[in-house]
Amino acid sequence: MMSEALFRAVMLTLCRSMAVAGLCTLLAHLCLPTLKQVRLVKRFGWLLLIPIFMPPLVIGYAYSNVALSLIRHPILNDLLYSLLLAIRFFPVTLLLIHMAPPAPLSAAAMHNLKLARRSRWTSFILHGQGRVLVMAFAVVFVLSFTEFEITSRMACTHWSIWLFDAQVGGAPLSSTLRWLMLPGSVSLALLWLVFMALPTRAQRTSLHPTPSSHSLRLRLSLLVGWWLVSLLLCLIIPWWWVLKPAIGAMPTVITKPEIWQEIGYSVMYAALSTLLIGMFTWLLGFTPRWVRWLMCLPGLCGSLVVGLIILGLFQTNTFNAMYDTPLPLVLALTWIALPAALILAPILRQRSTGQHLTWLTRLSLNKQHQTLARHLHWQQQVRSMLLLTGIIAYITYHDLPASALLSPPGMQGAVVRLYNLMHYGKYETLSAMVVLTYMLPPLVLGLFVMISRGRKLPDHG
Amino acid sequence: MNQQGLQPPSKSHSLFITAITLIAGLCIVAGLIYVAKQPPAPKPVQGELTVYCAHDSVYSEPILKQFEKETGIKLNIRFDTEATKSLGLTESLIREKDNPRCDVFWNNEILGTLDLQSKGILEPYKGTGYERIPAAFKHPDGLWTGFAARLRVWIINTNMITATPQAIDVMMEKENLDRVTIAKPLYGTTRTHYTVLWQTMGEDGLKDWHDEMTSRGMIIAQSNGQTKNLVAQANCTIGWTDTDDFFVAKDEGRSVEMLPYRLEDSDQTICIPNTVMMVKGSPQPELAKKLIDYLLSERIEIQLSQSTARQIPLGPVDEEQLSDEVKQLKVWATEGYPLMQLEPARQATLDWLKSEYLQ
Repeated sequence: MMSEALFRAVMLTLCRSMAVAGLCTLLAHLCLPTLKQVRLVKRFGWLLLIPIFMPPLVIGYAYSNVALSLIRHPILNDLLYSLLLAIRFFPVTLLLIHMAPPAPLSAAAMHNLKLARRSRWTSFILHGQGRVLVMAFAVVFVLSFTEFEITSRMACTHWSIWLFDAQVGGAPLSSTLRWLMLPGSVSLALLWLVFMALPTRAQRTSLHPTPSSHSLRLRLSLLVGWWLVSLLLCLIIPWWWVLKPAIGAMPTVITKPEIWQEIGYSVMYAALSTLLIGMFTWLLGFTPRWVRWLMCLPGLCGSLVVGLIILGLFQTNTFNAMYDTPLPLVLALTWIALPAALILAPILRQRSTGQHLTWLTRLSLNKQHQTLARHLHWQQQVRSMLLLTGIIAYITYHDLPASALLSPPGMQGAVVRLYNLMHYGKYETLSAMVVLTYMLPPLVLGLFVMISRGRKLPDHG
Repeated sequence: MNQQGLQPPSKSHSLFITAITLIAGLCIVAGLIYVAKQPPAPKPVQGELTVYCAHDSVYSEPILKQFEKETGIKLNIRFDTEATKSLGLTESLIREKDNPRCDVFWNNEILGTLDLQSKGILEPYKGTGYERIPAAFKHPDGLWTGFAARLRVWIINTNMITATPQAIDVMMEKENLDRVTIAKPLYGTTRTHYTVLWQTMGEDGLKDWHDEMTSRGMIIAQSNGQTKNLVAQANCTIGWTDTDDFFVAKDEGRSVEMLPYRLEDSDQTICIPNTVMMVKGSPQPELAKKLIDYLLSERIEIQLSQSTARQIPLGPVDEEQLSDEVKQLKVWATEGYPLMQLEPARQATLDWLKSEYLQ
């Protein structure tokens, strides 16, 4: 029988996720033209991505005291939590809509439909840009629906917290799976929406309507305003809170070998799982859509659920021999980040006429043409692959619930240790450890970006 | 324009790749089963111990590292974290019963230990450390031994009221209790607190008390740490927490004081020891005994009492090495409710709490 408390938690999470996804999609839809038409935004658009790379644990940690002061006002606390989620996931929405293959019906075609007085909304959702919006909405919904780190620090009602509490005193895997049926079904439905809505190939040329300059200015103001609020709430406040006390303790912390060792373990788990994900993504790229859909299922239930399932699996007699090895954790991280890879890969790997021309140029016998083709290939394909690798490595590096459950004895990753230490409040050494642990991935990502941007076309003049 | 190069693979190509993927997946599964069918994993290298430690790593890790350094025995430690408090090491040990990996379990409370004891997961050991601990804090057959305890206390914001039993009584008599806080009693020492109340007040007594407190608006926090923060930041006036959490607030310079929590009828305190035990089927029993004796030594109890958690030594120690705070705590600890009597109430309390919070 379904627990009433679980049902309530799922419904509340569902409503919150709908609101967050709706807000993100609406904002992204409104701001998208500026990304394509305002030169400054085009040039510095990557700055919009900053909130994605704010570790959720640091956000939750920074706002846990604010949440405490709102303990008698749960609605306000929930609104703050929802706002933080929207800030984090807005860049994802923008990226998805910006990079998704164009919808089958262009804006011009939609206008023709309007003139012909055909059902505009149906066409918009089924064939027009609405299809891309639905896909972005569904992705953000799932991200918000399975979030755990921030909600666990801000004590909001969330089905994953219910599931976590239900494990007390030991719960058999069968019960956990039964409890998962409702939240799992919600994720499943939304995932189905993602794969149905995602255009597989560029079928038509996309013509976005050009807004008037007045409208464009309004949209630009909205984008800049939102971005500044995002920076303030998700970057400046949390990092100021952490960085200030970290400076004094940094010299001590960087000389502690165990911290580097733990960061090393985290990097190792992230690297191995990213490698596995790369293999899976490549292989699954050739399989029918339903196979990819099926492979995404476990990951979409969230890290806690994946951790519990893998833990249960490796505690059975069959797989117990590998229980103390890194394998369970690497597998868990693979499942957790696989949906992101499967959703982002086709979006980032746009097939276009330009790519076809590059491919044709590579066949040329002229060496200069071949060099040019290699550079074009790098720009078109390798760069997006690097970006995807960076995003996946980032997700796996920052995972908390599965890592806490599955790290082998003596091989605990850095993030788990930080979460443990955060229980005691803020102090200098912890802040320095947070900086060290969380600055490393952005540095590596920055390196990726530099590499991907640094390759210039050779001079053929 | 011919866009052959951009076309997706043909249907037969897709089927071929799908088949390859499936075969690769099957190979992986077959490989895993093959490995699983092999004889059990070799025992750890001589000189290595696997330790599960539920005590906060801030306090326990320096001691375990010190043991490594002094004995040359390498420890593979798995720490419990706040993130996994409901999925903790006790549950892992129960699941691992048939294939034990852990040699020594350092638990930071006693209910989980009683659970392990009832499930036959522990191996008796009575070493030198066992002998120095009073009978009230150890299993008569040596299945586990308590050491370095903490107390359940009232934490009081002294900017709001004075830290006296009378002031607490006045607070608790108010109709609205939204300035009073306690952690969710599903886990940790708050569960022990509730189990003691179940045992002393009876099932109906506890349920009535809990219903009354929540209906009058008592704030249920996520953890003892959060309870401490609520009081320290003046969001609440008083709350129930542990001594170690209280001292975190005190050391941060917050305006807080504490009073021991006492049971209504008997005036007894609730003193919760760390417990250490050897796991049945431990791969390294001799090394495990060394670590257990080490943890139960006077030196380690003094060391833990000098940590920021001010843990209370249970065995005889050189009193001169204790701070005044710890000496006071030690007196209160001697007035503790006998926790070994909790076994009958343990599961019943948990079942009720689960129905209360999860149904």
